[in-house]
Amino acid sequence: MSEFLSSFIMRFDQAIIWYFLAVNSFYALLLILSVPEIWKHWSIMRNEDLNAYVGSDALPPISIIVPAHNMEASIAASVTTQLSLEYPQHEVIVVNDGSTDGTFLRLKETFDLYEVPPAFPRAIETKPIKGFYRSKKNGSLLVIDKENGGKADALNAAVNAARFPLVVAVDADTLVARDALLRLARPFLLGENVAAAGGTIRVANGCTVDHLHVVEPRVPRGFLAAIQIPEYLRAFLFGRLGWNRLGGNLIISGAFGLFQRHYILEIGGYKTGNITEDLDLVMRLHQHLRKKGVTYDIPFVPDPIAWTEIPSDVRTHMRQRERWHRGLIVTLFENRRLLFNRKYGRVGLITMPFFFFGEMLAPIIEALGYLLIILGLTLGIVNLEFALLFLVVALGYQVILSVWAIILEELTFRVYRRFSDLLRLFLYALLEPLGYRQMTVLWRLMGFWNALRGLTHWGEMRREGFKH
Amino acid sequence: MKTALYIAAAFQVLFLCLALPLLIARRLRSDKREKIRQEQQERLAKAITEALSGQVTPSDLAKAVDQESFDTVALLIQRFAASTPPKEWEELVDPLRSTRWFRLLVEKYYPSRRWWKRLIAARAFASIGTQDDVEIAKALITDKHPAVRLAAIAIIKRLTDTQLLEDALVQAINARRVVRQYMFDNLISVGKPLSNVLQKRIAQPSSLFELRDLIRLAGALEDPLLIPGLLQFADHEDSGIRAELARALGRKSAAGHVSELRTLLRDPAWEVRTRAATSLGLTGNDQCVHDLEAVLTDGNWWVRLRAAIALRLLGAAGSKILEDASGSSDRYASEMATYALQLTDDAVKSYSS
Repeated sequence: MSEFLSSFIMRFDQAIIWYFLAVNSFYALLLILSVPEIWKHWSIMRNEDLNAYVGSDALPPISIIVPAHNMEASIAASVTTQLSLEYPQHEVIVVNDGSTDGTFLRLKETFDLYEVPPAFPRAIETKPIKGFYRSKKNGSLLVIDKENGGKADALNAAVNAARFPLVVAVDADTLVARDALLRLARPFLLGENVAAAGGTIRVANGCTVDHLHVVEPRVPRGFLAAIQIPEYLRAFLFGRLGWNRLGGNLIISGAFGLFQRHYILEIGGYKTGNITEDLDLVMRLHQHLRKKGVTYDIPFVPDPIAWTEIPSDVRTHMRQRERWHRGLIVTLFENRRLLFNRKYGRVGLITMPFFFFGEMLAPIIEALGYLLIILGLTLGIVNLEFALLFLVVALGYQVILSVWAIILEELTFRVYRRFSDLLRLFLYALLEPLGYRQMTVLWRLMGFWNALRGLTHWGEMRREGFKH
Repeated sequence: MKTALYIAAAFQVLFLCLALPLLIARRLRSDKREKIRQEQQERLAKAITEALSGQVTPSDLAKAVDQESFDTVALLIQRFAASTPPKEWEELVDPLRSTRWFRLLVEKYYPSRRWWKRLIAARAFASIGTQDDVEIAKALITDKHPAVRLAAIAIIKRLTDTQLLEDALVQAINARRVVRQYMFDNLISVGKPLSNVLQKRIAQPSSLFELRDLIRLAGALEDPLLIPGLLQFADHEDSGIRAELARALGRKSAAGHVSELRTLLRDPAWEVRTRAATSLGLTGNDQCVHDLEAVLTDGNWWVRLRAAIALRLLGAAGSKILEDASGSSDRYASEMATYALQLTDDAVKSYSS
């Protein structure tokens, strides 16, 4: 029996090592593929005359859609910022999604709203709408006051009322850089068949903010917020850029993503009840466009930046990661027909399998790896030398990827100008696998458990606000 | 297995040991370079400003340019060309073209196999290109990289060459919608010389899609001489072409063609009716308020919206029609008229832009 157990644990450990190597090698491949992509955008954005685009009629008008639920404190400033973004023509549609605080009143007072008849098409079913309002101060603002139906429902109401061909979904608490829309429209200027496009989400915690624009990016002081930065760099700087060359992105962040409005209408809008509505929308978009035989791109563009506040306390972090992973599981399950399906091309054969095995199952396999190592050590089946080597190699690979992401950041955008910030980033990349990673594994396992229980709630998000 | 793990671990440690000093060295060097670049930019900006105000001679400017790095000169030239009045800028073009920097641009950057170098060349020629560069402009406008083509299209503003315009027009027509529109914007700024090229092309379009684009471009060019040639398409079988004609007739250059727009407002295709309604609003001619009133009951939401906005644009006469329609028994007309009436002037302007 003990021989069987010993052999099982050894073989399982080896399998886990191979799994780690395979997943991290795929990330390394994404990193390699991201280099020409980042170089492309970097070469174009250097000395790019964005004013030439502002003065042209070429860029398609954009409807910025902002769902808001109980955002009384920040909504007025946020909408003012969205209205002042640099772009030839854009409107802002704010949806007050049944707020129970003074969100709507704040909007009404700040923008001098007046009610207009509900003369808008309703292509997608939503919760009842209480009223449409326009602003006497700014002709480009439309406010929709509706009963609470969740984020997806609010987004659908805005998509219905949008009058421009492109919609950009922006979270009300996200700080979009002034020139981000112009930069996000670059794939259109390069003649790509853009169905949707995503920009970079960066961490706003610790940054100095003036009039809701980040003026000095900093690595946050708090440990939990700071250690997430290498994670964000990995995800955005090379993860999503690499996917540009591997068949398109599956994730366009809900906090800042651009979509062709008519495609959203064709697929029936955002799915209500789905907690990762952004991921679900992109997956359904892939399916729809593949079925239609449309040639399309869903590119990620690295230089348009939206800053967002990330969780800085363990409880909020737990809720966020648990929700993300639960949403990933539910969405992958709901769209499982894509998996290994040749009809969907590289999305079905590469992207989906990676998300399924490399992302969704990762916490289970990693947790099993830790457990078996501990079990093996306890039973004397695995020797300490092997266990340490295993951990060093498996976790070291991730450190290397994080450091590569920092190098890539340093060679291109160099957002963090302070020398101390660079050193701290390097330090956090080293520290990430020592506790933080295991903590996220735990949160993601909770996501698994809750997905099995069929939970669909969002969980409260506590935010500290920006440093002015 | 263990040996493989040891090797992997050794590589990882080695990588990390090398990465930190390299990152630090890179940061220190970048900071130093940035400081130097900043100083170079300040020096060159000063030299260009002084040359513009006549404080230094053109040859002094050329000398100053040759002392700075290639990238700094390229950046500053682009910036100053965009912000300096054209007449004053043209006085600097010859001195700038007599520099070593320019020779490098022509010999190394423009013919480079690397697209980002050609991109720099395209941007520079858009600022200092002359008639001597027609062949270079042709090559850059038809470059295989989209970013280079996009940057190069601005060169046509500086050169007058029929063949170049024809090449640029073909490139624009074959491009995707947004790129095409951007190229059209640049072509429109050429003005009269384009009218002649366009007239020939409209007479022999290669496809319906091309004809649509050409009509749109002809309208945007605001040349009254082009309008009579477009009217022949009023009863074209393709609704897209009729819609483009309706758009073109909304321009100032097409004033006096309201009767054609009234006819298009009764077109069976909703896109044409939408465009015609928008254009009628833009003409400012309040004689057509009753035509617009008739389409307030249109079955298409966009037509009703555009008709209502057009009526708002037509002043008191239009607003009176809307007030009457807001009490109408037709729900469509009543709803849209009320909506348009309640809009602020700013919102109406936003709709009509």
